[in-house]
Amino acid sequence: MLETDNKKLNAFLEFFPDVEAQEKVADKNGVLYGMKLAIKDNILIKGKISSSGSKILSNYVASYDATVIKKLRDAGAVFIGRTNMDEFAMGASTENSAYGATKNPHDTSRVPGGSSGGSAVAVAAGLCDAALGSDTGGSIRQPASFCGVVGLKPTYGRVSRYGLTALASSLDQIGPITKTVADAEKIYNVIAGPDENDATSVEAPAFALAELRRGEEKLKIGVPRHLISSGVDQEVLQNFEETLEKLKQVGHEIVGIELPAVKYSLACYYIIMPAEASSNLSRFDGLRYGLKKEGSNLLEDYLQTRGTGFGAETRRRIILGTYVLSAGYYDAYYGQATRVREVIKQDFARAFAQVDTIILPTAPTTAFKIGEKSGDPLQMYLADVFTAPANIAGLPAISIPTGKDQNNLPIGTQLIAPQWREDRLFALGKNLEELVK
Amino acid sequence: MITPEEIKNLASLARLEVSEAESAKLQHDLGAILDYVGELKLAPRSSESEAGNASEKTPGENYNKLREDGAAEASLSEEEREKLLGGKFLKVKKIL
Repeated sequence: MLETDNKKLNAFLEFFPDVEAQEKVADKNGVLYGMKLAIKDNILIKGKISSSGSKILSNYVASYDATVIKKLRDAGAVFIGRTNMDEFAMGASTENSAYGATKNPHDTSRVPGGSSGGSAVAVAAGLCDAALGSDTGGSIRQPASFCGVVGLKPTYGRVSRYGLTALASSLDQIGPITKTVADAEKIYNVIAGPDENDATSVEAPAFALAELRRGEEKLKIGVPRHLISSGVDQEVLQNFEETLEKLKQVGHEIVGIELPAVKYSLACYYIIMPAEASSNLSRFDGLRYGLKKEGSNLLEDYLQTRGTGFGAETRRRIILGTYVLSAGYYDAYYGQATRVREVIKQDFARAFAQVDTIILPTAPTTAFKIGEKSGDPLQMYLADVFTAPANIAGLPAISIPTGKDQNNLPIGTQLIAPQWREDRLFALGKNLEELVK
Repeated sequence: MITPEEIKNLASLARLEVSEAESAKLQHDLGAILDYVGELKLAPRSSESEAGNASEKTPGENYNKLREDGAAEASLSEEEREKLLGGKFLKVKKIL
């Protein structure tokens, strides 16, 4: 049955043959015992292929477990397969996979979002209990929004990136895609925590109980209306206003806030991300693993392996990253982006002095048609306009399904919290989940 | 505006073989993307970032916790190494 459903959707690249064996040895006392998980194809499981949706890694078998995999296994979970994704997590539609596009279960002529599209579809179509994705500019939250499921991007540094194939190291975070906020919380609690193999993972500061309880009470929620004044679908806006109204009715306070520099987040993102990506992807040279195209000398090996192994979007971002890092342009692009990044963080810090959380639509539209934006990279990039700010500032954010449009396509709403305050996202998220039932 | 020569040079720096047709498309796409990210010139600046330490920071306050160097258990057994990597050595073509 799984295989038949998957044929239609192309959510899984592989179902693992050893699920029964995994179940036999799973810890019956683990908090995730009995949970069947789907894993994005860029997270390493020892002995399994991890291709990152790319031809260049089509035969790469992981030689170790990612830290998140080890933690999930120790908690009793089993892994049923690896899910499709935009190549190296570069995309917002899962059309950039070398293994074909994934389809949205709500309308198979539409994209599921991306880059964790396979994981979001696997959860939405009931092919697994929950999934892991990775989020660099919205790659967990935007597909969760398009598929009507919950997606969490944790605080940068909260979840180890050891064993995640890197896209942009200062932005990447692994997180859960689930049916409910409670499931997201459960998985997050298992995978979070410092890891000596990821130098940027840290212990979250402890909060006083009184401070933690605040999440259970009435919250002050900030709405940066200036960010949604244009470019957002009418139906998405309407759902957003209705959601605000529901939150208000149960006693939360909705206040307008200004985040003047946050509108530059996506521009910032499209400099920092390709810069880091072009550097991270330089390791794929056809020598140690993956695809190898033979030329007449070493340079030709490189040129041909990388020229044919990487897909069009990946090549585009590598070239873009090489450009913004090249002598003469470095300061104007990369230097300026890192400076603006600081201003964006300060904007959020100022806002969080006034409010407990910030609310925004997850994406400006619902799921678009397959092929609709694939010819125009800039249009595709704009799908991340509301999700990229949390990555740029390293903040935790969650997408929660809050309704559907006229075509019966899911709409998601995003909550953003201060660093380390996932607890607030879970508390308000559960509340919101009830309100939109 | 990016020139075809620049695209050629970037592709060579990035060790990517790029066809003529793709080069033309890249020129167009990169132009549009660079126009878009060019809006950063208008972004506000903060006094702190003027100090030039911005790029050295990441979101975590106490980031980059380093561990002691030391021997770790090999993640692969000899047989696994043989199977996955085809032996102990990495063969490359001669450079000169």
